[in-house]
Amino acid sequence: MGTPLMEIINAAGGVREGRRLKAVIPGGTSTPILTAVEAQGAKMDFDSMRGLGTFLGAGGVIVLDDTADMVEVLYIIERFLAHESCGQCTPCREGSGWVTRILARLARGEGYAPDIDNAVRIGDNVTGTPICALGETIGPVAKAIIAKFRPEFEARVKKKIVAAPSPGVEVGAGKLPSGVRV
Amino acid sequence: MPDKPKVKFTLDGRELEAVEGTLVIDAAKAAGIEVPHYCYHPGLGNPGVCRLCMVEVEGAPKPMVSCRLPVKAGMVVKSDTARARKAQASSLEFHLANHPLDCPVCDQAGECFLQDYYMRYGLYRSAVREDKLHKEKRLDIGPTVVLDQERCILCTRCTRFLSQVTKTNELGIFNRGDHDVLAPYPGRRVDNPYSGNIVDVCPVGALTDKDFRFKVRVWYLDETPSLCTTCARGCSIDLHANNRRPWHTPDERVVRFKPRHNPEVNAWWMCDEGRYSYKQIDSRLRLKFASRLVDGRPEAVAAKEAAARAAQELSALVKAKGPQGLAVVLSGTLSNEDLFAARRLFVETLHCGMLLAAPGPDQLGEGDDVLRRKERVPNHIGALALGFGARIPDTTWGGLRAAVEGGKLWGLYVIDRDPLAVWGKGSEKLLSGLAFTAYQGSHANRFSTAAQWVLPACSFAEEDATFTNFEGQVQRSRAAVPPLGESRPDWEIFRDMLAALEAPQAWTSAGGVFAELAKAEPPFASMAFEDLGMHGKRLARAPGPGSGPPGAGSGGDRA
Repeated sequence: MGTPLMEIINAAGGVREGRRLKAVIPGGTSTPILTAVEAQGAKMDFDSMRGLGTFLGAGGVIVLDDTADMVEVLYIIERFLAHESCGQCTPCREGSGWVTRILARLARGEGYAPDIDNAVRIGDNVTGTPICALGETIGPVAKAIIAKFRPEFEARVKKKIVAAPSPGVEVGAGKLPSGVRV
Repeated sequence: MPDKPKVKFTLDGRELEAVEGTLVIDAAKAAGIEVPHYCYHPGLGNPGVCRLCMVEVEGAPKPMVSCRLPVKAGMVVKSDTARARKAQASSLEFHLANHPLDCPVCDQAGECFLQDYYMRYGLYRSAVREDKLHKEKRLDIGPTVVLDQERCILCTRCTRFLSQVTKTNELGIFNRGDHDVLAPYPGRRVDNPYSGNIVDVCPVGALTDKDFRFKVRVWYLDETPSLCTTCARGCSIDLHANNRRPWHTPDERVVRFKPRHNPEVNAWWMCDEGRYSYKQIDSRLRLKFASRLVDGRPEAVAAKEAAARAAQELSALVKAKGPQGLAVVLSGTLSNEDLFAARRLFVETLHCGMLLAAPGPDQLGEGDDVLRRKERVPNHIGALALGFGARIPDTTWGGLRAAVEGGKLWGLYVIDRDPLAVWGKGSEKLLSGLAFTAYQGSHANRFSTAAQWVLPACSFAEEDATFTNFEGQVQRSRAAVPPLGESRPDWEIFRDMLAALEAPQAWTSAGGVFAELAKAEPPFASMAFEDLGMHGKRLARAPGPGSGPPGAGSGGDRA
């Protein structure tokens, strides 16, 4: 406990010959990602991880070098979470699948500009609502990777799209005109 | 929870009181605030899987589901803040992410909770640009129900009904994540006697009723609170009549029964036999006009005139041959008012020699410990409370047959029953020795075609009346459609007969008959026709043994 993250990575042989460290997922796919810079000063203990906006999780450290495609990485993680979702509660069941399908489209190069924020929005909407902790990870994982590697996502967006509709924004606007029977 | 104290808490700025531990969603409903929900059903529990009934609780870091949140003293709950509404809207967005928007061809449209809640609390612009997942659209899962897996929102209400109420467990949820599907277990069909209820509990159009689907849009239907008259349980129902688009259902005015919540009788449920008994109301067997047999052929007589002439004929025969030779077959299908009027006519005025009122083999069926009662009549306890089979002696079908065969009878007046069906083949011959035979009832049968007099009575759906169920619960039926042809309530026919016998009664409505009945009969003493309400009232002393309805728990008329 408290061992510097870089010491662990180096002890395991470090990144491959000629490659640079890009990012580290400190505790398995459900923990928000750390950039190489953040990883430099990180210690593997609860407080240090919390300070970096992530947590120790299951402790399965995933090290990514500069060959990693972050759109692909996030897609694989979300696909895994969607696969693991038991489907009992609605936000996790639908949210995980929805985000995964958006990311699959982005990864194929068929994404629209609003998809990136929509994925974050969907993740945020799941957060705080599911029954168990699996669903709780869908949002933070996507949010961290998109926030820290946003240019990669934007580069994948289909260039030709001009004005895709914005995601639903009229939250709480569900007031009906008077006299309408529902 | 009688031993738990009442506590004060705040909901949407209102100071409320509820028994500690009451679910917030129930307490809100009691205060007139509806928190949108799918999986919670007061009769089926609260798994908390739909995550729609989100409310904000002061001091809690995130929104909570109100169906799993017990009320505590001093709790401050808000269901209408931006944060709560955002959580509800986001849950609705997830519910709709893979839901096919086939409302225009969906039979649930108009009574769909996904539609209703989405219009009230949802997002109006879709952010879904992915293809929706496809599942089976039209699965025949049982004799009464069709399943559309795409429309299913996986709330588990139906699976819980089948595991908790019928304990038959035909349906399950298979696979994981958004590939979850509702389906029958291999080799199973939803064919239990209560299968129609899963259509009622389904908040969306995933489970639709084979009999009702595509008949008529639900917003054209008129609802009348009534009761089912198929068995002695007398389940509370809403009777749905299609008065506004008759060309959609040319053969029937009443198009379906839906169970209505009544904690005293049926909780939220009803059986399939009762549910589809609405078909009797507009059946081709309905008798519409009075007739008299002349030389073996029926001749039409105006209904009022027929009652008077039949009564005069009866009275002359009683004078000539004595009342001992008249036998009357009454039925538990008659209302309390009808039975009271029948007693006045046949027992107190004509002093008939033989009476059969109790349900015989013709009115007995299969019973179970959910709802269905063996006695397939709605009011045999009412008959008992009015003295039939108690201080007024009752015979049996066998006793009646022996009397006919022994030449002891000259007349047989039958109401709503069929002696020939009970006595079997060749029993028509028995009637030839009788000077007087009359059938009064709503539906034709073998006896009605053989009887000299036929007096048409209307259906319970066409009259205001009261019926006493097997536990002594007195409930109202209410006229939902006009009587067919010249059919009339039985008590009106008896009234006209009494008038012809110079024993006029001042009855002008079922309520008036009931008022006189309540005055005369101690078990009904505290009741008034107009005060029976939606749930009915219990007889002062119930003549039968009782057991409550299944799953009768906390209140709420509609889940």
